[in-house]
Amino acid sequence: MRLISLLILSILFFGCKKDEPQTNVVSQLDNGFVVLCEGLFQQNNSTISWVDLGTSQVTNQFFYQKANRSLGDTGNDMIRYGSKVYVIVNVSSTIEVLNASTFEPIKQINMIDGNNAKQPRYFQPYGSKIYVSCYDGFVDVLDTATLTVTQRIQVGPNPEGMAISNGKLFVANSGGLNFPDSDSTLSVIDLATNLELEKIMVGLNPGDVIADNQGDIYVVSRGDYSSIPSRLVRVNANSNTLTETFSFDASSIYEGPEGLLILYVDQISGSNQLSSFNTTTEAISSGSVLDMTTVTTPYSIFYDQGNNCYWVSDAMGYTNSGYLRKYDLTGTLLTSYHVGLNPSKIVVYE
Amino acid sequence: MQQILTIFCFFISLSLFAQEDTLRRQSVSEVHVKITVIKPLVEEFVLDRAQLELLNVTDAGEAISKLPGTNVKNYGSLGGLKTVSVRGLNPQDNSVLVDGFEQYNSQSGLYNLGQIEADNIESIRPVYDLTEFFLIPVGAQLKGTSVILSTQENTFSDKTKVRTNLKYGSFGQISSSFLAKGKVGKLYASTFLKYRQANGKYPFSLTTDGMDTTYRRDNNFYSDLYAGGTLGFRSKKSMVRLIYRYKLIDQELPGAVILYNSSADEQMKTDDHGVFVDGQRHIGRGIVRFYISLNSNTLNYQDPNYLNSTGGINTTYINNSLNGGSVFYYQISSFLRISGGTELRYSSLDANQHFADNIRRLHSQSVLGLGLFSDNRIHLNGQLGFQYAEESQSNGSLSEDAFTPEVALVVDDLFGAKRSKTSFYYKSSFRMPSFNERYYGGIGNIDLLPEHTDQFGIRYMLDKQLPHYGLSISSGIYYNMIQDKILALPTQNLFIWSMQNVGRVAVYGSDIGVRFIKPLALGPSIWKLTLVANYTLNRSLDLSDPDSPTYKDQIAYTPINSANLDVNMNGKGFRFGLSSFFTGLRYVLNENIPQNEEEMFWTLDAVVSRRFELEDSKHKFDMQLNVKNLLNRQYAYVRGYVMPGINFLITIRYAFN
Repeated sequence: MRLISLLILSILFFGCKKDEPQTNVVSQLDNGFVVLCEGLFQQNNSTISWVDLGTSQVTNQFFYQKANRSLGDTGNDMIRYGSKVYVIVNVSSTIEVLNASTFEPIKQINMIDGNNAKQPRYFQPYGSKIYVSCYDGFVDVLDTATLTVTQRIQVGPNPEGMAISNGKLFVANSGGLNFPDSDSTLSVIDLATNLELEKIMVGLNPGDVIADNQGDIYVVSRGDYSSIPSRLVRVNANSNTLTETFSFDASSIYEGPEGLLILYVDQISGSNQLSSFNTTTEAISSGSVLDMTTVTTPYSIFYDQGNNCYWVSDAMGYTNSGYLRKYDLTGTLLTSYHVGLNPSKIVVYE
Repeated sequence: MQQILTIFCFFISLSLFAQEDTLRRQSVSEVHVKITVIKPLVEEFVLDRAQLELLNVTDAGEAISKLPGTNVKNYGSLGGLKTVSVRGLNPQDNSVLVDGFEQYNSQSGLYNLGQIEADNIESIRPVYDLTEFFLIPVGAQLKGTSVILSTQENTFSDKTKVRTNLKYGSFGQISSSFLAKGKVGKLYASTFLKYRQANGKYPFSLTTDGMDTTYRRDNNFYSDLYAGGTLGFRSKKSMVRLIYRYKLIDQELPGAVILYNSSADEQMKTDDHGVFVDGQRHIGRGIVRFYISLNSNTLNYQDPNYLNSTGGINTTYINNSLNGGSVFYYQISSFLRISGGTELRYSSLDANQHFADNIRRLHSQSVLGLGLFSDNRIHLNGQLGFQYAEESQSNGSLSEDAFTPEVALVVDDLFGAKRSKTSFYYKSSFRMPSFNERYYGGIGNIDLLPEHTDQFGIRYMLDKQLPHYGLSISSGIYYNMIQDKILALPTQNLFIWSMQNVGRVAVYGSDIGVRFIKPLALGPSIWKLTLVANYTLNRSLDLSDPDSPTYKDQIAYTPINSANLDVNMNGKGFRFGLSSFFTGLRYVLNENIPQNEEEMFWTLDAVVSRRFELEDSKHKFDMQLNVKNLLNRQYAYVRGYVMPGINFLITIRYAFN
């Protein structure tokens, strides 16, 4: 019976949980930024955080607070365009449209075609349209006035990043769902007719696409995450030809002060490097732009020209709540904000 | 066609109602997998047929969840995946033994307990300390923990027995089964046929727009056909069995509920053949058993909505395994015994996509044990296991080996507590990664190391059977350390997951199970009150990295507290029962923050049944109504895998003895 007593005593052990601080309702967005936190696949835990730079207060369930419902499963992209903020929720297959000033919801656009979820991935605005790459092999044309899809443009398999240059839309066809037989093409779409002109070979598994102001398109071909390395390639947007494949490693690219910021994550060693790439000289910086020892899992980078800083989203191993980390242009960590799971896109309010 | 089969199955059995038992009856002891020379005063906390009937459960997964120290992961609905972990170990480190044979799937490493109907189970025995189970296959002896199930289908019967039932319930559940068994001389035979199906369309509610909105679980059809038979010979000293089982499962996979997107259209078909042969013979003061099992499993998975270039996934996996071995036990003297065994398992997996080619594994496992006895009260058992595995596939090969010691000290009537048993044990185990974990598409990790576990525990059992009440208590405290725990983690980004070994997990806790039976005089009748209560405390802590935000946090999907309470009254052929089941707060990810909380839940089930007996108890009819989730709770074991609200099941059973 002494053992039973011991057992009963052991029942007195209880687990502890970490509480989240209470936050106030924000009515007008100013001097801060919203952060799309992707959440994890099949967990319906995508969220949007509001970071008030005046008070340093973080509201991590900001979308829920405004819409009184959950955002859905796996947020993927967010842009502010005109008077609205647009959010792609990939697995839920929806686009949320919100008032950019108040963040009040305007419309949820269902991106399901019959019984097939289109699985939208990324936005690319142009005039009164927003082009939406959809994993079912199309780019949807969203009318920003009526908030309806007016046209579907067939491209390659599982399109990802897009960029516009020289009146054309360049779409990376990843073919990621055919892995390891991924696609290697970039679709070129004439924005006057919304017709695909051609496909350009750019390397296995293309993902991010960014246009510079000198008529070049930069694409990351991510390889097979094993023997075929991830590379940056340059495409001439006038001739629609591949002009250069750079020899350095590149996992993802972002707009930067000299043109591009190139993030490379070495999965074997776990080391990360963020380099600056000059799109005029086509040269990469030798050192890291940031002190990468202060980031656990760099997930996306945002160069904030207005505030002269970099915002780095730290996914903390992808299964832990993340941080938005602010760095000055010398690469020194200034501050961090604790946000939701897998922060990726931010929209800054100045 | 399916309904016709169901009705046919039921009526075959009805035609046998009036048959006389012309087979010769002889009292022969049952087939044992547990051998102890000194019979313990206190048995393990076994769920036998009578107790299972009191627990209001529909399958083995639900039944096991009512044992102390267990945690069942339930993905919902009829036939849905249910796996059990015991004392915080991975489900793959728990061996499920059915009728003396280890159920093994080298592809997933998991056995779905949702596919064994509770009506078919004779007994369930959780085993924390295996050193008294010498005649089970070596592979199971070397696993971290085991659950031993005995079914009605493959156990011998000296009497001719016929069992049949017909069930009808919510969300299109209909099922029927037929079983007959008996013997002629020393030859025993049994045969069975079962069919069940459900459309699985049950309502559930979600909070969207600040309001509870009701949705319907779609793409959730399930059917299975299960058939087989056993032939056996048993004499005073020997026993031989030949068992064949066939299973055909056709199911839709609803997946997790995804907000705003109900386009799931996945399907799975499973075709499974199993042939099992074993024999055992008493030789002097010992017993030797040999066993062979052959499994052939074909699994076809389809997802027509998968957005690849071929317009979906249609993958067929062929998973075969052949396992053979021998175990023995010999009592050298009144204070010393020796036991041991060796087995060889060959497994292969072929698939038309998403896998490496020609995966083959040869796994050799051996064990040698010694037992010392003193005073008929103290037993010291120890054994040493050795495993060697060689694996190959199109890109290369690898091998693993490990020694795994185990020791247990068992003391009866410790501290003068009569009819009590206390055991102190240490056990080391080693789990090979499954083929899925090593080779599946982009998720598999060929460099994955086996998982090692060290278990330390104390177990205490007390059994008081007095004229005016009966009381059984089973309790334990334990500490387990898991090294190189295998977990799926995102690597390149959150869409690209890979199996990884993650540092260390410490598991400690305690569990207690109590059974109380008391006869009650109600008027002229004697009724029996039965109370069954279990409580499990489990702390499974991530100790991998002191700098991680999850350091010392509870591992995902391990409830800290879980409990159940069952109350039954039966007498005069009636039975009334209430069952409650509680699962405490869990986290869906290892970081213990409010966003990752999965709410605690408790459910209440009720059962009413009436039994009729005819002709000196030869013919028994039983009508039963189960109402599950009486309070219509919305809950889920696993986030997104919503469980049904209130639902019912009507069962009509017939038994001929």
